[in-house]
Order: sequence, then C-alpha cells, then structure tokens
Amino acid sequence: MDRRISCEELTDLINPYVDGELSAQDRDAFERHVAACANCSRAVAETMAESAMVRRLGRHPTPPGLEDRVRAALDADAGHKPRPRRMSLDRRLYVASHLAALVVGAIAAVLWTTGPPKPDPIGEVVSGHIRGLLNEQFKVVDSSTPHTVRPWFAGKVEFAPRVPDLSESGYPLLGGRVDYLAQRTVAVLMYGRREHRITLFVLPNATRTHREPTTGGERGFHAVGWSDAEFAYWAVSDLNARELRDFSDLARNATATTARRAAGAAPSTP
Amino acid sequence: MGDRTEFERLFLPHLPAAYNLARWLTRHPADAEDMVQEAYLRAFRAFDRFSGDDGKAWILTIVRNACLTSLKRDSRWRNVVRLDTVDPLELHALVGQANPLGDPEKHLFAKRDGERVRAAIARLPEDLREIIVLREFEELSYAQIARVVDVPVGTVMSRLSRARAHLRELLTEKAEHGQTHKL
Repeated sequence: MDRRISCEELTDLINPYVDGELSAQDRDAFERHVAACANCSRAVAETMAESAMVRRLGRHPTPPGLEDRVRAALDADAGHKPRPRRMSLDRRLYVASHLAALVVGAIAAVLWTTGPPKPDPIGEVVSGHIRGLLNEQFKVVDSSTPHTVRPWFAGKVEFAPRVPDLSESGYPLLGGRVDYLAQRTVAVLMYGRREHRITLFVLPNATRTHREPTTGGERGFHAVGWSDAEFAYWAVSDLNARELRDFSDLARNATATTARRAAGAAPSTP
Repeated sequence: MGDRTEFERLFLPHLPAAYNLARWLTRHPADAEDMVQEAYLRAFRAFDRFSGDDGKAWILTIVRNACLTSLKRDSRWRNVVRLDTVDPLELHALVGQANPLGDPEKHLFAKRDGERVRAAIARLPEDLREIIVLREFEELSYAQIARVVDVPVGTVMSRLSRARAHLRELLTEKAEHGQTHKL
C-alpha cells in the first residue's frame, strides 16, 4: 500500500522527517518522494545541513564552579526540606533504567574513543558531505589535478594529505577544501562519478593503527572508512554502496602505493 | 538526606543542559549561572511533585520559567545588552555588524562558520530561539519540547519551522557579506 505525497505535503513534513518524528509509513512515503524529486531533495538537504551546522556548535560549556555553587545553594536551603518521599515502583524502574542508560552510555563512550576516525564518525562525515554539497564556495581549490590540490593544503592543515588520481577509473577529482571534524581541521577531497559527488575526508590517524574498511550509512548517504598507519579516511556519497566501495578500494590502493613510494624514495615530492 | 542525594543524582547530570538553555535565554554568562542556581533551588523544593518520568524535561521547564520570569521582571534585559560582559562575538551580532574578528585568512573556516551560526541564533526572537536550543542542542522530542514550553505539539512544529526558516535567512544574509576563496 504505497502512500503518495505531493511536493506541498512534503514541505510540511521536512522538519519532522529531519527530527525523526515521522511514523515509519510516512517516512517511507517521504523517502520515496524525495528519491524521485530533485527540488524536494534539495530542500531536505538544506534543512539537514542547517540543523547539522547548529548542532556542531555544541552547548555553551558549563562554568567549572557551577556544580559547587548549586550544591552550596542547596545546603543553604536545608531549612526547606521537601516532604520525604517513598520510592515507588515506577520510580525504582526509572532509577534502574537510568542506571542502564549510564551503562550503555559508558559502553558507547568506550566504543566511541576506540573506534576508527572518532566521534559518531558516520553522522559527522555525512553532515560534512552535505555541507560541501550545499556550499559551493567551500570548494576553495577548483582543480582536477592532484599536483595543484596537494600543495594547496600546505599551511591549511597540519599534515600533507595524499591526493589519489582516480580519473582513469572514472572518478575525476573536482577540488579540495578544508573542514572541521572530530575537533580538528581536516583535508577534504571532492571526486565525481556521473552526476554524483564523493567526498573523501583525510585526517591524521592518531591511533596509528591500520584498519580495514568499515561501511555504514545515514540519511540516504553511504560511508566507507578505513585507515593506514598515517591517515584515516572517510568516503561519503549518495552513490550506491557498491560503487562507493569500489571508489574506496581504488583510493585505498592509490594512497597505499603513494605511501610506499614516499617511504622508499628520497623526499623529492614537491 | 536521602532525598537530597537522590535529587543530586537525578538532576546534577542535567546541569550542562540547564546552563546551556539559561545561557541562550539570558544571553549572559553570569545571569545564566544565577538562573540555574535559582532553578535548582526551586526544583529541590518542588521535588515531591516530580513524577519521576522525565527529569531532563522537568528541570529544563523550571530553568526556562526562572529565566522568563526574571527577564520579564528585569525588563532592562529585554533590549539592553550590557557591553561589559557580553561575549564580543554575540555583541556584534546583536548590533547587526559583521564580525570584527572575522579575518578569513587567520581563522579556520569552521570557527568562522560557528561564530556566524551562533550569532544568528542569538538574533532569533526568544520564542523561536528556545525551540532551536531545545531541539538542536538538547535533542528533545517534539513532545518533550511541548512540555517544557507548555504549548501543544502542533505549536512546537510550527515554531520550529519558523525558527529554521528565520535562521536560514539570517545565515544567508550574512553569507552574502562573506568572501569566497578561489585559487
């Protein structure tokens, strides 16, 4: 039973969709429409990007002394002791679920810090990819040759990213920019495939451990992440998963080759 | 003091959320701290009325009410910005000027971008600003926001939609003054 929605109806559903407030059925109808409608899909991407931009600000940091101040105020208020309450069953369940959430949170925190390129990587790279799609001005170096793109990063990021040339395999380089991911400035390379865009994020690999590709997806985008001893990479695109995987394999081979050459040869690269 | 311990265990974890909301509503760091302290006192006194099912929404409701009461009472806060203590990045936004620190060659893209977004949120009217803060920073559901702001869910949806549209206008307006770099 395929519900169809019009562009007009869809407009009203964009916010609830982005906020995860649609029913499964509405979400399906929404996604079917968006997949077939360029205008609506642009509107959705805009709202997502705006929301992501705001989220990236994070909270205002809590002043360090505030907790003590609050405790002191509560101490001073001891005269106004609230009526004693017995712990109801509801409440005990609540406390139990609270504790369970803490445990889950702790596990998530561990996974978070030991995972590949770090913090909710897929969410972050997908947002980064959307930002790039929406803001053409982000494409600060407009070039299809790695020789132009690579030196451009000097002084903008604290490392020299490898810029694989994959044009012969059908993934022309479109340009580069910098972005901010996982609390640091990272190099971003943009590739094309037919009308699709692929964003390749390159960041220094703090753990220095080699990692096989992991794949994931969010909001209709696919992502593949891997790392070598020096860099962590994330490729993101609305391209189908198979082709993105193909792209990632090519990029991985190309960067590995570059690494080997760089390690073996004299430091003559410009 | 079992209640005190329980109160702290349930609500101190929400201190960052409480402070962030107060900070966005008062637009002033010291006032935000006062409001949080005030709200936690009120909450503690009303602890026996806490139903136990959504501590975060409950404490944020109290923080919001404390801020709004105070803003209303102290109407000098409404339009007057104290220049001595306000965050300079919010200040230039409040007076509608370009960021004086925004030298694109010296600042990272992300930082510049963040300042721009922060400034735009600060310029939103209060009733839209609080919705953005509760949704984007606190990740409350529409139902939770409805509870905190004390309006129907439908109103939350329409305000959120207006808030995002307004924010987008403020952001694009600013972006037009920004520079594009091409090599």
